[in-house]
Amino acid sequence: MEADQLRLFKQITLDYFSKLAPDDEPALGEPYLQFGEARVLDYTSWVEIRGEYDGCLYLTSPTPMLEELLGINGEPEVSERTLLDMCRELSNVLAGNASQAFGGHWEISVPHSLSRGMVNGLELPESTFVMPIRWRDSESLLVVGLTQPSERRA
Amino acid sequence: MNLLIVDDSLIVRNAIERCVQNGEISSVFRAENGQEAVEMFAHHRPELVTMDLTMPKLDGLQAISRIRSIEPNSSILVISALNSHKTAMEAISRGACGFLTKPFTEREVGEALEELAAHARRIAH
Repeated sequence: MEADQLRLFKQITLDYFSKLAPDDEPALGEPYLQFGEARVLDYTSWVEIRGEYDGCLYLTSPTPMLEELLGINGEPEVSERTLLDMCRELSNVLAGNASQAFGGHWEISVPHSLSRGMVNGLELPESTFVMPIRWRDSESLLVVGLTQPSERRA
Repeated sequence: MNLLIVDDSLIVRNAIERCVQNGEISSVFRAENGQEAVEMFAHHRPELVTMDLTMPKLDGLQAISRIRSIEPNSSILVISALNSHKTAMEAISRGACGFLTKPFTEREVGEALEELAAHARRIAH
């Protein structure tokens, strides 16, 4: 995973919030390499990526942030199904919005909700980065791991 | 006119439906994957369709092709997180007449639906 890819996901995240909550920008923490057991919050959604790069993106979020996100998306229902859906949809948007930077050679799967045990069972690329997203007093983690298919085969 | 909203996300379907302020739209139908969308389109024949692309069972691009084979004059607006020029051109080549990238504001969807309705009116005359 390269520095410019990290910058890309930072910008996509900032763009998402600046569009839906223009007066309330998130604070993005310095990305760090993921080692050992993954930190898993209340809801987690995972997207598989294929194309010029292979890998995955997942978002793990606490309930309060998802409740706030439902609010800025205009959704009045706060329930298990909408909290799950909000987590899935945000991971879909953050993964999908990267396609422009890769010239369309970027395929993403339907987002899948993951349990805590499933997250720690994932086989992630070696250079998988975690980017903290702090917003309205809670923190989500955006986790991105990409490799070029040729690197993976080597 | 009738509108079919296709998206696998409940909150996105709700958000799009809230943006329907066009007095010409009398009924709204909803589908959560491409397969259900094609079935609902064949049954209800809505004049307007909003279509997500990344969905289970049948993706949006395939659903557009099938809907256009049922009704070549259908007016389809893609609303997707995939924002590449290549994806937009692929959707247009299959018969979509507009493309809106997620995330969206209510105003953007409202304006896009106005344009979609205008497209449908032009085809009808």
